[in-house]
Amino acid sequence: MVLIRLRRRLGVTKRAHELLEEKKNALIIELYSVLRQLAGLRKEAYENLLKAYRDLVDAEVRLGEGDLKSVSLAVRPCPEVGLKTRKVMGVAVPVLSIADPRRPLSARGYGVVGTSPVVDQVAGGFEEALRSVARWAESEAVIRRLAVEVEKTRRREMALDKIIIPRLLESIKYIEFCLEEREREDLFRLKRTRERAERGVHAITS
Amino acid sequence: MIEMTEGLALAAIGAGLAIGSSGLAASMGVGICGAAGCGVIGEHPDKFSKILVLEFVPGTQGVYGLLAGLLILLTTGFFGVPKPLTTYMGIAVIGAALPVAIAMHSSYWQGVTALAGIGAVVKKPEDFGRCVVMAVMSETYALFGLLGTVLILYALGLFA
Amino acid sequence: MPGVELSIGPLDIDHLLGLAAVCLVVLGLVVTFRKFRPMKIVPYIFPSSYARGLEAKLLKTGQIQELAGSESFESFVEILSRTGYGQYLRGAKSYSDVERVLSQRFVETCQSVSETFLRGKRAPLDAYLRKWDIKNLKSVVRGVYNHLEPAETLQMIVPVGGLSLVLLQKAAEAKDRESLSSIFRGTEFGPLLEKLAVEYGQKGFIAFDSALDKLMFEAMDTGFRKVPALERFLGAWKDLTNIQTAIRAKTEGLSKEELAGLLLSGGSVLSGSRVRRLVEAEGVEEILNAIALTPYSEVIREAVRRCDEWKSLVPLDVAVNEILVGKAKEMGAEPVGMGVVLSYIIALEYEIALIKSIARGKEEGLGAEELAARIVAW
Repeated sequence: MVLIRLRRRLGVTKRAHELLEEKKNALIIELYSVLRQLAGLRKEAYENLLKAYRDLVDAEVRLGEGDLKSVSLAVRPCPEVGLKTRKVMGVAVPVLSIADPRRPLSARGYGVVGTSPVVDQVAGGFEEALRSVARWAESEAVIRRLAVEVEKTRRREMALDKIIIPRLLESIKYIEFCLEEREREDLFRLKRTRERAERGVHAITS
Repeated sequence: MIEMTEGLALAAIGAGLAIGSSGLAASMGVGICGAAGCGVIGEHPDKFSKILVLEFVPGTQGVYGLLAGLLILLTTGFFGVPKPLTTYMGIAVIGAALPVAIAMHSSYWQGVTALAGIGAVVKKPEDFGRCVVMAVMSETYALFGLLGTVLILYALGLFA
Repeated sequence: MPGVELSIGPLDIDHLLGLAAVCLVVLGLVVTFRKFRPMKIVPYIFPSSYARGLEAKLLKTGQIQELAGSESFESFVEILSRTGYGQYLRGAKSYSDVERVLSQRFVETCQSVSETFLRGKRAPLDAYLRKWDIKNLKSVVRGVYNHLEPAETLQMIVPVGGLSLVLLQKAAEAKDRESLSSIFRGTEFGPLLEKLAVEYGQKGFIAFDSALDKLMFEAMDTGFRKVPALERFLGAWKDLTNIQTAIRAKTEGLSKEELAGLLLSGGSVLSGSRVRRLVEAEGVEEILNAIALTPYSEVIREAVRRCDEWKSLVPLDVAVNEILVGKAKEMGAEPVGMGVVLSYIIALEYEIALIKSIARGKEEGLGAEELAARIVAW
């Protein structure tokens, strides 16, 4: 009875282990694909920031700090960064969205005719940098979440593989062994009883 | 008191014209330079002498005018025996005064040149000589005016 | 006269002829005076020569090169102290100090130049200085709307022009939009400020800025009228602004209607059909074609090429300003007149911007060559 139950449990556990392994592998594949992008995204964000700050220096050189400050006060604040989640293999992973921070000239907030084109340059540069930094931040967060999940999955998988399943197997083996023993004993007793019975019959008939 | 005839009266008018008009002209030329000089002297007090020279250049026309006036009075005999001038002679003497009266207005334009010269000199003091030469160019035409007056007076036979 | 016996009352023909001769001469003088109007320049002689005198004191090319080639910010300040700005630069340690000193000098010089004029002759200069009024007003309004401290707002302004420092201070201290609008009630800015207070949430400063820019150009249209040298300069300025706006519109994706609304009328070379071509152009290349027959063509084309190389719009800004500098110099080419004064004021503006540019560049450690590509010298 117990054996049947145990055997069934072993089957289920083995399936669970398979599933966990699949999950772990899938997560790792996803993780690696994001990792591959990460280097590129970080480089892009770094370059865009560098360019934006260089454009800022150019703007300060061309306009002077006072004028540039005045224009910057006219620029409307960038749209908010939106935070949503999506699921990857059951893992909640953040998605950063910026409603295209790159704004058209007519929407930034300063009058076109009275400002110098270097302002367009630096504003656009920072908008671009903002977008690439958001994408970089997003992929870093995704990687972190995925990595944590991979670790959790791996530990559970290991636990199943190294502890639970062997224990089950042990229990099963033990029960089978006991059953076998008993069977053997039964067989032996049966044999003995038959021998005794045959001897008894012999004794009566002689 | 000399004996006035119409001719002599007209000749006096001529002399007056010559001196008066050229005086006006010279003062216009010198005046604009003076105003310009005042403008720059605040920042460039060291260049005062150069500015003064440039200011003086248009003033020469006044001298020519006075000279011409004097010549007219002399040749028509005001300072000695007045010549018997007819009315037409008088009108002709006015005509003789005209070259000086009108040509001396070159002083104004010379003043414009000198004014520009003042502006140039404060920037590059070494250009002073050249600016003076350029300003003096107008002098030729003033001299032509004086020459014209002399020629007409001579043609009228007043030098005899 | 032999043979003729004419007389009118007590005068006979000889007298009449004499009188006629004198009248003719006087008439001749009067006509000459009226035609050549030598008196017209008189009110401008002193201001022009004053401006010329100051112009002679602007930095020379050699000094500019020295400043641009200086090793560090400190040595830059040291070289600057040896120029005419030296006496004002006591203890200047940073870019802000330098900026402050230069602004102050500019304000004082503009003041003294303004004072050389007789009242009533100054209109064109005042019209030009409206530009600073507009700039200052924009800064103050932006400061108030962003809830800046008045002291911080006032740091951005340069009080030359019609709006006095007192008025600007009062405006900078305004607590909210309504009190700001009420300060300017009754002036041309009143209605604009009221409109801004309503619109700001939706549209920001865009309409306000555009209206002010229009006011500035209109002031100069009126103020420069009848002074050909100034009108030529204004025409070129408008042309260049239009070209620049068109190029920015095409690179940033403005719609044709929006661009059409931004272009100025009254440009000297670009007018009517050419302006329409700018609006209809589908890209920067077509804009360059539209201006191909103008004197700006070569310089702008080269600037756009460099913009593509640098991936920046800085070369365009520099090129446009270099052309403007040339036009302003032309304005000052006459010996006497308003053009000389305005040319000097503009030269002073460019000099101050130049010194500030170099100062900021030196703070960042830019070398002479890098600076050369970013500065505009007179």
